[in-house]
Amino acid sequence: MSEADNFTLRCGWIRSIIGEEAYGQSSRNCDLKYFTKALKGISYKTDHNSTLLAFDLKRTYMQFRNVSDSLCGILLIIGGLIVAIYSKKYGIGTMANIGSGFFPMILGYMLSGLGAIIFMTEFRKTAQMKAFYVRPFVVVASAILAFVFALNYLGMVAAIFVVVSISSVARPKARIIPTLVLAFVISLISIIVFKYLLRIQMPLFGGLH
Amino acid sequence: MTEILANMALGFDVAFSPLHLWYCFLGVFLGTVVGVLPGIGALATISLLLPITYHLSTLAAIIMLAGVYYGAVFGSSTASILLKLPGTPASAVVCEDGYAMTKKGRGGVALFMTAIASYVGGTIGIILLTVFSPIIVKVAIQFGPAEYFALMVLGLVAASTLSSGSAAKGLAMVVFGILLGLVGTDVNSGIFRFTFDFFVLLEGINLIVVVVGLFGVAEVIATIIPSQSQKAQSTKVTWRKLLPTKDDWSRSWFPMLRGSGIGSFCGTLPGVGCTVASFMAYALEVRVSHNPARFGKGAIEGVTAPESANNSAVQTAFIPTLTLGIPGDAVMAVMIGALMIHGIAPGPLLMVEEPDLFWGLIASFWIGNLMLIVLNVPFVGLWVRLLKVPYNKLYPAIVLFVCIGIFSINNNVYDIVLVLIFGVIGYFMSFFSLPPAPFLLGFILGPLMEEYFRRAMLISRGSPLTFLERPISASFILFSFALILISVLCWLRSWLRVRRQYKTEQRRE
Repeated sequence: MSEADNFTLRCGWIRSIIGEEAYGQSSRNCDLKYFTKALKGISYKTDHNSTLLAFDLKRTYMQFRNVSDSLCGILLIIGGLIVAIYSKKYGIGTMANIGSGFFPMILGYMLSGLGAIIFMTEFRKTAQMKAFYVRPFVVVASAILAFVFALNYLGMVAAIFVVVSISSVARPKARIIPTLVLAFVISLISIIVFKYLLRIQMPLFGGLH
Repeated sequence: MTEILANMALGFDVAFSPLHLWYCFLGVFLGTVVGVLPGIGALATISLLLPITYHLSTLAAIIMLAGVYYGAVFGSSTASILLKLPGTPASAVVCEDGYAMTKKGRGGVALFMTAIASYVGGTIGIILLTVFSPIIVKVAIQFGPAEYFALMVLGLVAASTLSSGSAAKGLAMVVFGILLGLVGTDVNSGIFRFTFDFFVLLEGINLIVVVVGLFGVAEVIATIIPSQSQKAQSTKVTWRKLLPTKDDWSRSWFPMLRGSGIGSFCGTLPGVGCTVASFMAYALEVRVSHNPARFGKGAIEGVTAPESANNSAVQTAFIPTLTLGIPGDAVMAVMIGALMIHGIAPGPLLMVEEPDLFWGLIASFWIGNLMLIVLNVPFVGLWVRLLKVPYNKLYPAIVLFVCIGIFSINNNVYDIVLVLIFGVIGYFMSFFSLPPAPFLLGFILGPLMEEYFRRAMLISRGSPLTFLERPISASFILFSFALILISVLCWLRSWLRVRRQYKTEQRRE
């Protein structure tokens, strides 16, 4: 992996974290020629914001692969095998009287088989990977977790304000004052709607227990 | 004929109660809103509304959810015509000619004609639903466990191979969905499967949690950044501009009927649905047209045919769902789930045991479509203004709604954590381009499938050949194999194409 490639790779991720622009929106098609040219062994290449991992698999015709497909295939194979082995402990039973473990075991083997098929066959003429939106992912997840904690210990008002204000940060270019104003307005409306119109059972202040 | 009329009379009797009219209106209104707004689809909305349906009666809940579904498809053409932004994928193909008409200053006509086309399509779909459902139920009621199992296999295989994208991935998601559906206490033996000593998992994973996580949370995460680049402008639509010319009418009525035909057929097939229907209708219009060059430059047929197709597909999608209990797409799976939440088992017995529910729902489609035409034609200016609401201001409210809605089911914060987990799973699935719809179908049908499989094996005393010895189930199984074979052949063809391309590349070097 050359220095320049490394740099573009890192830039892509950083850009997606700070959300400077609609990152990955323009994951353009990478054409066949680009990949078939001398990508031997494992190497990282970035092209127009799409990070790709291309490697030569026994020099077959599928010299380029979508890294997400390979990863997905491997995950399915492992997951399927774990399920199949784990479900044997629930009892396979006999053919006439099937045990609780039979169906999940078959499904586990099917899952790993399909994973193997995905690993081996998924290729596209335009190998492109979807953008992974790090910032919305992290922010929305933490907003929901913050809601859970705030609701548990502080009550509904705090929880609503926390979830709205944190999740507003998920978009890039979120500024503080408009975010807080928006959070305040949404919180006010939703407290009126949920507490007084729909009568949701939640304490306004104070924890659940 | 008299039977049909009697059924409809029963249905309208139920549907015309003020409560059901109100929920029907609420459903189609919300559906139009989310159909107009790009970024939020019918599926996300229906999943967000699911927690609320806990607090409603079964019929009111299902009327509202169905209203959101066909309302969204009805309303989705507005944004495609005026801004070239499809509100839902079903109306993506309308962008071509609809936007071209807007640029020519005939956007109002296009809006008016799509409303008419949608109404025609919807009506034809409902008529077919009314006529064919009792016939299918009569056949399906004689099915034994082996037939049911085979039918479910066919439904799941068809849904995952016929939809766009990779068949292997679709099938893998079906299997994954079934596995998650099996989590919890096994009804037959009482063994806790895959619960890992978590108390919340003993009763299985709540459907609402899965749906809201997969289609609510994951959808929000995936939409925030792409929505930033969308800029909505406003277009003025006045009354005078709405009226179509005589030429528009004469060009439209036959494409509408053709579109409805295609749509009705596509709607009943699992995994095909309204998006494919609208594309097929458009392609057919281009093919039969005397002057194909008109398309893409504001041809009225290019707007009316796809719109009537997707609206009829939406209605006929209810045929397999309501008569067989086999949902064809994710929205239908959620509908089945909504029925199951209220303790109603989907299947052919639904029509026999709950005629109020069945015919009331169908009657509500008639009422809902009439409401939609009123909502969409005179009030079109309102929807255009709605397009200016940015997603930025909307999505924090959606996240909040998810949290509170889920909490309100059981007054339990662990459910919110589970939703978050499914949101993360759903986001990774969309990152890996794994389709979530087959996953949901598997999740809902999985436990039933296992049950039917066990019963069939018990009856046949352990011979798996029973699925091939009975003619109906054998034909379902053979169909499934044929579908898999077809997708393997398709894959092989594209593989050979890539190989050929690669070889020519090498030779050039």
